[in-house]
Amino acid sequence: MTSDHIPAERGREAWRVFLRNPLAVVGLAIIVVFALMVVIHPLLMTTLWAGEEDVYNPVTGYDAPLIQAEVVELVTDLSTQVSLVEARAGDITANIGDVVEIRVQPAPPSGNHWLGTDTFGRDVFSMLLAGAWPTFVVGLAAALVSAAVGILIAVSSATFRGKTDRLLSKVSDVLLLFPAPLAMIVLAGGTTTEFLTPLNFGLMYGMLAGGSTVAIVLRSHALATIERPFIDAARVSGAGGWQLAWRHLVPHMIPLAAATVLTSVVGAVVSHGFASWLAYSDELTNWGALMFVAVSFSSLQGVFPWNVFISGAVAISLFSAGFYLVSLGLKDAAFRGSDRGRPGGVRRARGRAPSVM
Amino acid sequence: MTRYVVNRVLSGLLTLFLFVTLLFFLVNLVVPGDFVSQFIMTAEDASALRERLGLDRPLWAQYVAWLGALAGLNLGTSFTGDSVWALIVQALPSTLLVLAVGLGLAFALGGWLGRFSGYRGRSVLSGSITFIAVVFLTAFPPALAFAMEHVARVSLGYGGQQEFGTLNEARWLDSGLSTSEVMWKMVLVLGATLVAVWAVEAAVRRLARRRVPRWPMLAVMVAVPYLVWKAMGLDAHALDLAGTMVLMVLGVLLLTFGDVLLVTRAAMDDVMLEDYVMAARARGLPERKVRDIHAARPALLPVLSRFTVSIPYFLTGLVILEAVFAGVGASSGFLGILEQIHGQPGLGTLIFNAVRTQNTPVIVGSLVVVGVLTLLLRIALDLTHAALDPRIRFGEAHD
Repeated sequence: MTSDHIPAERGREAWRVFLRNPLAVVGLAIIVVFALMVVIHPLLMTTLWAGEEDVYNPVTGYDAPLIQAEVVELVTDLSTQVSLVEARAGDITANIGDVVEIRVQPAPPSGNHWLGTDTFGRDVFSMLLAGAWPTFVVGLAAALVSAAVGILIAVSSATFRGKTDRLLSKVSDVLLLFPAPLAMIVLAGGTTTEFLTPLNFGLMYGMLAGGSTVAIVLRSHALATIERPFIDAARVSGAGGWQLAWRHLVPHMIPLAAATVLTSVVGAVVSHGFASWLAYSDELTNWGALMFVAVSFSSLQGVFPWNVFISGAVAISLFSAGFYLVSLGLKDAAFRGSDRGRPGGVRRARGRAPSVM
Repeated sequence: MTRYVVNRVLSGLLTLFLFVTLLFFLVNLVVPGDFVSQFIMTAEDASALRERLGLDRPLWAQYVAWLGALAGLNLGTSFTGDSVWALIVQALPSTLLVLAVGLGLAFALGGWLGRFSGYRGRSVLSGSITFIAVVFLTAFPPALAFAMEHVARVSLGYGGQQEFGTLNEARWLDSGLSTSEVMWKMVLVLGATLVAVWAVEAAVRRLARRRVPRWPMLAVMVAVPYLVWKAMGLDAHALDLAGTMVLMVLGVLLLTFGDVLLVTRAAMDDVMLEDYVMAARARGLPERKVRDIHAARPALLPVLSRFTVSIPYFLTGLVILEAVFAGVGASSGFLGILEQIHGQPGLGTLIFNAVRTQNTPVIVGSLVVVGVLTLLLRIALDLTHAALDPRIRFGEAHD
């Protein structure tokens, strides 16, 4: 069908197919929300929270609410004092019946602090917004680099065949033995944070995952595509080698590549979060670090900061889920947008339901 | 088929060799300095130590020595003095058990749900199933561990002292066995049972030309190991250990079944439109047979290939979850909520603790083991694919 070669029309049709899938739309909405978070944080800091820098700063803010509590029991035994949660009053001159003021750290959600404050009195919502940008950097860097590396390897395999294909397949096989998420977590533990910034983390993850998982998936598609008649036609008209690959093969790889690399965003974001949760990095404003603080310093008051832990975990998961859902939608759009029903294959034209809903 | 198997194994060995080489050069060339340079000592002491450790030899000589050591299963000595190989042997059985049971269940559940929901086409049910699959697939492992722990403990009373989910101290002290020893025995018995069942099934299929019914086979796969353990006097210990690992296995199941489901469903969707499915229906076969035999079996082949690239994620998820359940990265606060260590320490605990203490020999040794595990899983997938694909199975005229 000629619609194969009219990018604009294919694009519109693909977009329409994408939108027909409710889960994909949800995924897109999630990503948009997180993108807004990136933008909103500096906005809020300069408008709504201007002048309250000391309260809402995600790293150094402090605003633990003060409450009044009545002393009901005096504990004089030192070891019991240490273990009782209520012993946080700390004022040793208080008597039973006195009312003392204590700081609530962490604090549950309130009017001023929509997600409450953490053990150090910092506003959780502000920390959550601040963590969106590093996560985007990790995710997008991983996606772009793994797409580039994967497409490069797959297209080279398909165009040049023979020894090149065997060599590149071997390379992918070897790289597969380094599981990308695990290797990156180990690397994070072994290097400093100056070296392994979110950007570098994403780039290296992308190189590892792109060379292994993405390359393997794209290679079979590339090998199938290169058999198709339009490639022969291009060869007959004189295209060869790189020109053939770049002008004719690569555009056909992009939809599947887009769908595949978005799943590696999940791996990159979750492994980055886990590495921070283990305190392998000392970044202060990412969601994993948020959860690390929640876990490590909860004993300050003996109360576990659920609001912090759950916010961080949900943020990481929701962010990855958004990209994954979009990738599901893209897989549909890649192959339903034309009358090809399958990657690289010729199928009868037929109406079909989306492959995943 | 035999030729294929031989080729695949040889190719795998080559890949392993290249992997180990790459690992060696990455560790030695990328990481600045060497083992000795991290210590504060005089120059003479440093060069003496280098000479004693063999670090003054040229890199290629060290590489050859490294290869030789690997062949002898000598993975070096950890900075704490134990042999790395001994540490890994101690940690491995737990990981293998969770891998076998967890992944097996994940494939069964994900495959069944994928076939079932792919068969029906678009519907609210299949959409919800996808949604749930994605939720678990992208869950943050420590949070998942938390949630499971909370539910199990609070709602089901799991894991208190003397209850299901904790090791019975007295029993273990009396018998003087270590958890690791017992787990290795469990692994070996389980493995032998699987091989035996597979061999019997293949023999029956070829000689008697019938299929072994599925449920009896499963019952045998569960009953035989238990009976063998009973004969070895280990059944109580095995059940004890199994009780502690339930949450871990469940966690691995939840993390992995989503991927299996979605891939299987996508393949089913492709196959459902094939003419032979319509023909099977037209012949009057019940829908279940159409779905499970005529549609699912051809769909299985590309699915197996696709799982090759999921292996890293499955393994990493397993390793991370196992580490979290065993208490890695937990401070008193987290432990306060977890309330006790669950599962048995395995490869994940080993790796992450080693990273924290910068125990390089253990890290490198563990990465080698992870690489070997990945390779074995990959070869298993390829061989299963070859066994199911008649083009490969009957490719050669006569074996």
